[in-house]
Amino acid sequence: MKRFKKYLLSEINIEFKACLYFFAFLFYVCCCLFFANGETTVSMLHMAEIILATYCMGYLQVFLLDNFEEAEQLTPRYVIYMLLCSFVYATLDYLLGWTFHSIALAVGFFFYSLLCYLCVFLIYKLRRTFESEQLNNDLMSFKNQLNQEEGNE
Amino acid sequence: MKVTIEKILTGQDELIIRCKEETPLIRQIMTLLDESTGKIYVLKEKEKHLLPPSQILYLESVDETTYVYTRDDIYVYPASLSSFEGLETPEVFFRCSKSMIINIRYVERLKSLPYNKIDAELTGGEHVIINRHYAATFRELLRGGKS
Repeated sequence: MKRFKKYLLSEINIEFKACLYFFAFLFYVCCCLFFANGETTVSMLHMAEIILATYCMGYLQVFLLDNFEEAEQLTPRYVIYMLLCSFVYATLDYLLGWTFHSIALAVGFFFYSLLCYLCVFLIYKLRRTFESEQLNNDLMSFKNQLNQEEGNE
Repeated sequence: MKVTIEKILTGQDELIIRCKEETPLIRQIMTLLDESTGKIYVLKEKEKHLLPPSQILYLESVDETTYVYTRDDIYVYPASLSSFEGLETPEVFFRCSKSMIINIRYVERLKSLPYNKIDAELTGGEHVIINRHYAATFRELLRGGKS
């Protein structure tokens, strides 16, 4: 049961990230299609490929790459992981033709996914900073309550 | 074990334990008795001490031995962490991992860590990590007041 719970937590985390990156990448692909060809629709096949790619990459990130976006600090190792994942996405973009097999747009995809990773890293970091503030406020209130109770006794 | 109860009419109540060696059962009896005085029975270099719970920073279980950390000393608690959890003390102790219990009074600062863990900085600068499994309960405890 404990293992299943652990697996379920990881799965939720992976699926959340897959959806997050899917929509971010879909936005990039939509922009490319619109500005290059004036197209306003994206192929269902390409969308399926993007979600599958982000889902598989989620597994890779969580189980092999130390879940680097949630790391406390951006160490050189994590920067390499970010570069590596962005490179994989850009390669997939080029090979699967999400943005017309264009090298320039694939390079753009590389920098865009790198930016996405950085943003996600910063969002997690910011969230932890706010959480720490909240935790310390709660701790202070808790201690004050304890002291009050002792004073009453 | 032979138990003898002697009724007295005057003087202070007294309890003498006669034993060849301190077995876990005898240690448990001593711990139980010390609960009533509000102090914890601990050992340091085979010497027995009575420690007020308010002096305890945290307890840690290492290789089936429970260590009690105060600001200046380290003692051995002659029972398990679970049995300590069952004690009635005026302090608020929190089980922050399988092998550790902290006294919340001595938590100076908290920091949210990745993967829902919490880093608790204790008086004296020691850092204790509250596992993800226990962090949710810890947050509830802080928000809900003394449980």
